[in-house]
Amino acid sequence: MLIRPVAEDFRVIGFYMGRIFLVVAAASLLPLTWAGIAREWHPFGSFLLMTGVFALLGVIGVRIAPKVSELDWSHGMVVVALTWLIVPMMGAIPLLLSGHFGRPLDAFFDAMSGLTTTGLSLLSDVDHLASSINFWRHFLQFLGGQGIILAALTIFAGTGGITLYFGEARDERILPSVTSTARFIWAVSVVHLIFGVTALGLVGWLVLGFDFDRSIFHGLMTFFAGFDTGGFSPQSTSIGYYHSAIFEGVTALLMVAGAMSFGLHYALWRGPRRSVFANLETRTILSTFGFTMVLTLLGLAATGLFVNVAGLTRQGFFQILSAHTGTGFSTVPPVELARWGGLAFGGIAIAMALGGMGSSTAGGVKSLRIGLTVKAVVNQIKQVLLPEHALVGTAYNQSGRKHLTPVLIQSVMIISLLYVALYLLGAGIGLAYGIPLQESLFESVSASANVGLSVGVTDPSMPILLELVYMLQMWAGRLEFVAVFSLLGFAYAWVRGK
Amino acid sequence: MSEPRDRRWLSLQGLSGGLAMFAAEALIVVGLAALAWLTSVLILSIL
Repeated sequence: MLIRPVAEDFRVIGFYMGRIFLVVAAASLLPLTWAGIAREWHPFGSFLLMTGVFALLGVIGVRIAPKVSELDWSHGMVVVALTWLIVPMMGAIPLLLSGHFGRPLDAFFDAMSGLTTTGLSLLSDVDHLASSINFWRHFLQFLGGQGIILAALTIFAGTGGITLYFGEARDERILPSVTSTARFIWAVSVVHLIFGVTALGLVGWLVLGFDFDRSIFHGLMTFFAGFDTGGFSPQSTSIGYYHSAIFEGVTALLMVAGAMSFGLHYALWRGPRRSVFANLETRTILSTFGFTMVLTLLGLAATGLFVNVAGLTRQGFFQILSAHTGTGFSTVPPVELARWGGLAFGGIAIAMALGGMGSSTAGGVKSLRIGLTVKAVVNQIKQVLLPEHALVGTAYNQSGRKHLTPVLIQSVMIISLLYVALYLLGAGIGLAYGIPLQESLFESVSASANVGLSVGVTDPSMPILLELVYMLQMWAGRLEFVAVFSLLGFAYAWVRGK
Repeated sequence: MSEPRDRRWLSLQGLSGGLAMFAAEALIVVGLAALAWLTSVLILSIL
């Protein structure tokens, strides 16, 4: 029998959401300050409004203090799912008021795309966007990549923290407490911020000839979108705008860092560094990267578009890295990407679907699940081939020796199948609107795996239903389904429970 | 692992690990790019 939620359940959920909204309100002061310094008064007003809304929601939530402030598993999941809906909804206010969107839903789409680190965009004329609005778009990717809940957990600890942490699709607790894990994740990000922005800024200043302010601005925006595998860019031509192999190289480093699990960052930081290559997940992602790269390079070479090694390597390597890490940066326009066709197209689509590592900022099925699935299949074959009473080893290495249990295999299979279903959902809706299968599937995978590469389907003139489906895919794909299903279950229990 | 030991990465000595982490990631990217270069050479010489 389903138990209908009572007022106390809503109080607990509201209380925790309120605390998170207060943290988001504090984070909103950054774009507000940026707009003030840049003297962009229209965006300043819209940021003030957004900050006020978040602060108001936060105060209301915190003031309805529950009698028991303990957060159980289902409450935590509902908090995560709702937070990831409401933050982009309210975060769309400055985007909508910027006048660069045709309809309110488009601004919500871009905010959802930003927060989920997808990178698909319906914004028109990005090249003439106010710098503070551009900052907010990229900062949303930073907040989403780091995890808004994680940001809140850094500030307030306490009961329920671990539920919220896992609800945001993180399955690895690097240090004993959630707060210290959250702080370590921020430390890794700050290191990349310092080195990444410095390197990109120097390339912009010394190689591309930008003035100092512009080089820092482009460095910072590319860091936010690269390290958090978001893929937004301050220019409509993405990374292709810079026409610089060095800029692409530094960006590649940020994309790789973003797609690595924070557990691996910890191993690289503290050592032993060699243990990184013993991990099942590292070996899996290197294998799938190699496989999809060969497919893409073969396909590209077959088209005859690239006849020299340098051109083929530069274009193929950057695009496949962008796809596999779930970033979505591009050095070719969508129209040209659509023309790649055949093997290259397939290689990129497979790389997007597979995604980066677990507990990283990347999306997709994730390498650990792929590795565990392959291991389970191999074990099954061994079991069939070996004598009846032979024991097949189930151990694997992932930050230490672990065992493949039936429960783990079941969980891996369910999530992987849900991703496949999500990929097919968007592709099916696209097909219903007359979009060719190849393009429908590519764009659907890109949205669900939070990548952001586009072949032109995502456009301000796209059908509203398809837009809504892509938003659902971005949201469910980023949260890896569990929190979304918990919210649906909670809503169902509220309506039908007793 | 006790909580004080957790915080060792925050010390000055620990922060040099941050630089080592960044350098290791740069090496990984260089390795992947070299692999892509070799694959391109191989593919173009075959086709």
